[in-house]
Parts: sequence; C-alpha cells; structure tokens
Amino acid sequence: MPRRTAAAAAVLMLPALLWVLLLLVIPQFKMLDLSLRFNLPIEQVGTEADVHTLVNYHAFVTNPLYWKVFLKTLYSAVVITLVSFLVAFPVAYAMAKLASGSWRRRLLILILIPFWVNEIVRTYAWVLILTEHGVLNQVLQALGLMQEPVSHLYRDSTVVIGMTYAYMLFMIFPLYAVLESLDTSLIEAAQDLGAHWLQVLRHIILPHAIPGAAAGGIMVFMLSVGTFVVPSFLGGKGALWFVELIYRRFYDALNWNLGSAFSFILLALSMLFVVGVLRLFGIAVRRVIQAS
Amino acid sequence: MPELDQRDVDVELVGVTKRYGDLTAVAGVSLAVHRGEFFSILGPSGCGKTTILRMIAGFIEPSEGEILIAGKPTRGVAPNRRPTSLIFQHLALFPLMNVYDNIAFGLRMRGVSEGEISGRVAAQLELINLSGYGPKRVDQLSGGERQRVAIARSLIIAPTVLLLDEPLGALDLKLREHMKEELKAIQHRVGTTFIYITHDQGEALAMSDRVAVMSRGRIEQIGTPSEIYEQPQTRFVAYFVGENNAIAGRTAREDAGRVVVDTPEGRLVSRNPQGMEAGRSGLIFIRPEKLQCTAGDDRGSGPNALRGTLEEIFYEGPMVRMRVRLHTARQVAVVIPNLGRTVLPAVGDAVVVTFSADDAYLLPDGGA
Ligand SMILES: Nc1ncnc2c1ncn2[C@@H]1O[C@H](COP(=O)(O)OP(=O)(O)OP(=O)(O)O)[C@@H](O)[C@H]1O
Ligand SMILES: [Mg+2]
Repeated sequence: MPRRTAAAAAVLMLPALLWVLLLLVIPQFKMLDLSLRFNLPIEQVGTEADVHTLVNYHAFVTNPLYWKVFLKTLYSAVVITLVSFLVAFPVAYAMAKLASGSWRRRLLILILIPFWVNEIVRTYAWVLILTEHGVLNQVLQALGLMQEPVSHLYRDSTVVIGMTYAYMLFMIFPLYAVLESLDTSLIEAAQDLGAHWLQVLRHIILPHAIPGAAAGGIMVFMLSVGTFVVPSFLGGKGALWFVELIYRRFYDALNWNLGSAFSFILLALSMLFVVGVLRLFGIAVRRVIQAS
Repeated sequence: MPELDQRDVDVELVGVTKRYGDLTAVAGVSLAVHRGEFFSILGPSGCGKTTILRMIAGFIEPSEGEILIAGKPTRGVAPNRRPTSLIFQHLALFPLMNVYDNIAFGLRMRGVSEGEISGRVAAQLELINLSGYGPKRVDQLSGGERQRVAIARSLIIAPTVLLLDEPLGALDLKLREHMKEELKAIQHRVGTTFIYITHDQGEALAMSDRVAVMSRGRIEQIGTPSEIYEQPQTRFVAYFVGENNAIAGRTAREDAGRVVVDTPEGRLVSRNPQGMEAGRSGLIFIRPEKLQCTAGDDRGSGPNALRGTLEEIFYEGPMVRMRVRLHTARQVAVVIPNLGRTVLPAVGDAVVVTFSADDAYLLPDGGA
C-alpha cells in the first residue's frame, strides 16, 4: 500500500515537476550560461571563441550608472513595501478584527474584484486618473483646489503609487491571516492591564503580525524589484527602473549575455538584501514561511 | 446581614441591563460587593455572567443602569483606566512574552522603572510560589502554573477588584480542587476583592463569602453559601444549587412560619419562607441528605413520613445514596452518611422516609 501511494504521488506530481523543470530550471541554467559568455556575432556562437567569462558581471560592477539605477530601484522597492504595509495594515486589521462575518466576506470581495482585471489594464487605469485631463485633475479643479492642470504621470512617486496598488493583495492577505489568528482576548487583556491603544498596537498586535508583515513584505519587495509593467507605463523616461535596463539589453541592444547577467545580479542582490533585512530584525525565516 | 457603610462597597451595580438586539442578556441586576469580599456569581451557561463581568471591566457598556467602582461612576471610562483586572476564561497570557514579561506588563504600561519592576515581579512570583520561573516561556508551564501567572499578572497592578471568569474551567478535576484552595489562599493573603464567576456550584459554595445565583439575566438570590443552600428563595435556586427532592401540593393552613400542605403523599409540614397563604399550590423541597430512611411500613408517629419501596442503593464510600419509589410512583433520592453502624434496608424492602419540618420548605409553584 505505501509503495502504491508513493508511485501514485509520483505520477500525479509528474506534470508539475516537468513544468518546473522545463519552464523554470532549464531556462534559468541556460540564462546563467548565457550570462557567463561573450556577446558574439551569431556565426561565432559555439566556436572556440565562445568561452566562459565574467566580463558581463564586470561591466555591471564598473559602471556607476548601472549601480545608480540598481540602488534607486532597491530604494523605491523599499518605499513601496513600507507604503504597502502602512496602507494594508489598517485594512487587514479591520477585516480580521473589526468586521463581522458577513462584512468580512463583502470586504474581501471588494478588495479582490479589481484584481480580476489584468495588471496592464489596472495600471492603465492609473494613467487615466493621473494624466493632465484625468480624473484626479478634474476633481481637484471642480473642488477649486487647482487652477492649472498638471500631469501627475512620469514621476517616481507615480510609480510608487501604482506599484503599491498593484501588489497590495500580497501584503493584505498575509497580514489578514496573522491578524485573524490573533486572539482578541490578548488585546483585551492588554487593555485591562492598563495599555492604551498605541501600547496595545506596539506590544501585542505588531509583534504578533511580524511574520505576516515579513511574508507580505518579501513578496511586495521582490515583485516591485522585478516588475516591468508599472514603471514602463507610469514612470516614463526620467524614472528608469532596473528591469527596464535588462529589457533594453535584451531587445534594444540585443545583448542577451549582458541582459542575463543583469537578471542574475538583480535576483542575487535583492535576495541578499531581503535576507539581510530579516537578519537585522531577527526574524526567523521559518516563522515567515509558516505565516505565508 | 448587617447594613454596611457605603465606603465599604467596592463594586455596586444599580439596575444594570444589557441588551443585544432583542435579547436581554442581563436584566436589571443590582448588587453590591464589599471590600475584600470573595463574591461569586453562579448560574447556568448563557445566563449573563460573563456579560456582567465584562461590563464591570469596561469592555462593554450597560444599556441601562449604572456601575460604581469604589463609589465612582464608570460610564465612559475605558478598561485601561478602571481599577479592575479581569482574568480571562482562557487566561490570555501573552504567548510571545516569557513569564517575567507577562507579569511585568501592567507596570511597564504605567511607566514604572525597570528596577522597581524587577523587585515587584519577584514578589509576585513568590506570592504564587513560582520563584525562578521568570525566564520560562508561557507554553512551557502546566495548567495550574499558567493559572497562577495570570493571577500574578493581574494582581501586580494592585486592582481594587479582581474579576475572574471561570478561571478553573479549563483545568482537570484534581487541579481544580487544588487551585480552589490556592485561589482562596491568595485572596486571603492579598485581601483584594474578588468577583468570581462560575457555573460550578461546588466552587461557588466552597470559596465564596457571598454568592449571587443568576438565571436568564436576573439575580435569583444573593446570600452566604449556607443561606443559598439552606434557604433558597426561588424554585430555580432550590433546583440549581445542590440536589433537591420536590413534592407538589396545596397549602391547607399556615401558622407561625409553618405550613401544612396536602400532597398526594399525604399531609406534610414544612417551613414557609415566602409566607404562602392557604389554598395556594406550591412545591415542598427537601434535600436528600435531610431525609431518613428506615425499613418497615408503619407510618410512625411523626407527621412527615413517606412510604415506598427501596428501589436502588448506590454505595459511594463515605455516603450511601438510595432511590425510593413512593406509592404515588414518585421517586425521592436519599443520601445517608456511611457510619457503618446502621443496618441498611435491602433493595425491594418497604421503607418509610421521614424528615423534619425544619429541613423542608415550601415555595410557590408557578413563576419564580
Ligand atoms: N456580543 C454579543 N452579541 C449578541 N449576544 C450576545 C453577545 N454576548 C453575549 N450574548 C448573549 O448573551 C447571553 C449571555 O451571555 P454570557 O456570555 O454573559 O453568558 P455566560 O453566563 O457567561 O455563559 P457561559 O457560562 O456559557 O460562559 C447569551 O445568550 C449570549 O448568547
Ligand atoms: Mg461566560
């Protein structure tokens, strides 16, 4: 019997394993290999000239412009993550602790509905809101708060707003899950012992929510670092994002080798950054995985 | 009960009512708890005990009426500003803090210096016999230890009143017995007023100075444990507290606190605490341990004698419990102490069950 269930499990998992192998693992190795080679004209690929090298990585390290874009991306992703947390926390708290059963379901659906729409469409909606003759300006003018319409697009802050919105769910849900699991009587016990609401937040609710916040934070951060849609729609020329740099290596410069190297640098450095931040706050990764 | 000076009242409820939509969870409750008293609220599940406690603690506001703590009205005062502390049914110890931090919590919230805190926490740990347990994690403690930590965590802020919501409910029987004594001892040492909620009458009677018996949001009776047990004033209390035999009948005449009642079992005489007049229907209550049971079927000379057959004997060690079927097919329970000398009747024997008029009391049949 155990052998048969094991065999059945293997058969059932085969499609998924193949999927991961063919579409994730093999291409990644291929890209890693690419990133370690020169960008040669097509006829020289596969000849003796096609040897392994670190020249692409070296190009990143030595060019301060790349560094600048990378650091700016990192910084923006951190800001987006923090803003996401600040916006998502009250929403998640209200859903988990304040709303009654039926309201909780309604709120969940309200939050989910926009995400049935494709990310590109959702992002484009922000363009309609923020453009010169967009909804925001019309409202501001109608209220008499603004005389001359200005475009809110193509700024760094626009990208932050757009991304915060795009990845909000990834922050709300882990937070909702941990807050839901917080026993309300702990909050009451703290109040009973003399804590006012800020102290309750600081000593009871936030410590309990840390694994969820970290899980949500990691997702939002990694998604923000790696996104392409939002910065290219809302960011415009001035707000260069590191992923756009990669995109241009691939499609404008047709230098796949450099593009691949940049991808791995982005992946490695942002993961390093996440691990570093978790360490800094002494958060055990195991607790984060349990919360997500 | 002697009238007490108003200054000796720590908690007073005046006509407190709490409604949830159509449901009245607490209906016009008035009571006064005295300083240093161990006051229990006893009642079946859902009768509004927790609601009362949470109103005193400040988590919910009464729909009507007033709650005074140490003479001051409390309406609008948040829980963290009330001189009360609540021990939750499931204790609600902070799982991410160790024992020390749990107990220190209340003082930290008040901005007490860490130096002073460490001394006071140590004193509390000593009070609950858990010295040296400070660094332990809460989930490493046994049920009884968690219980005591919860008490220490509340007592350290020196509340005027400690509110306990069935704190022994989650413990096993042995531990309950032990914690009962422990709680009483702690209360004795600190002298804080305790308001203790339970649906276990044994707990209420054993620990309390006074007990309030509740049913469906109302107070049925407030009194000392012996008053509650010996002199129930309502049918509910008679049935709910301890075991009771009830015999229905109609009053024939009453005089000087005694009443003669015609029942299917014949004429019976009992106390008449409610002063019921002749011609009213009521129930005579008599506790199993106040009955005597002798073999034979002569009526004897006393007035209160019930004839029947012994149907079953349960030998319980210190006591012997018997079930007697009367001629009217009604059953009565009899409990006699196992003194070892008496010769017990055998199952199937004809027996006479007798009782003293002083031990029986008549309560009205309908309503309260
Ligand atoms: N927030 C609420 N909303 C609606 N009804 C409530 C609420 N809280 C309590 N009730 C109702 O009020 C009544 C009294 O509840 P309460 O919790 O005070 O009972 P209890 O005596 O403590 O019972 P138990 O011994 O089971 O704990 C119950 O019928 C309960 O369903
Ligand atoms: Mg309760």
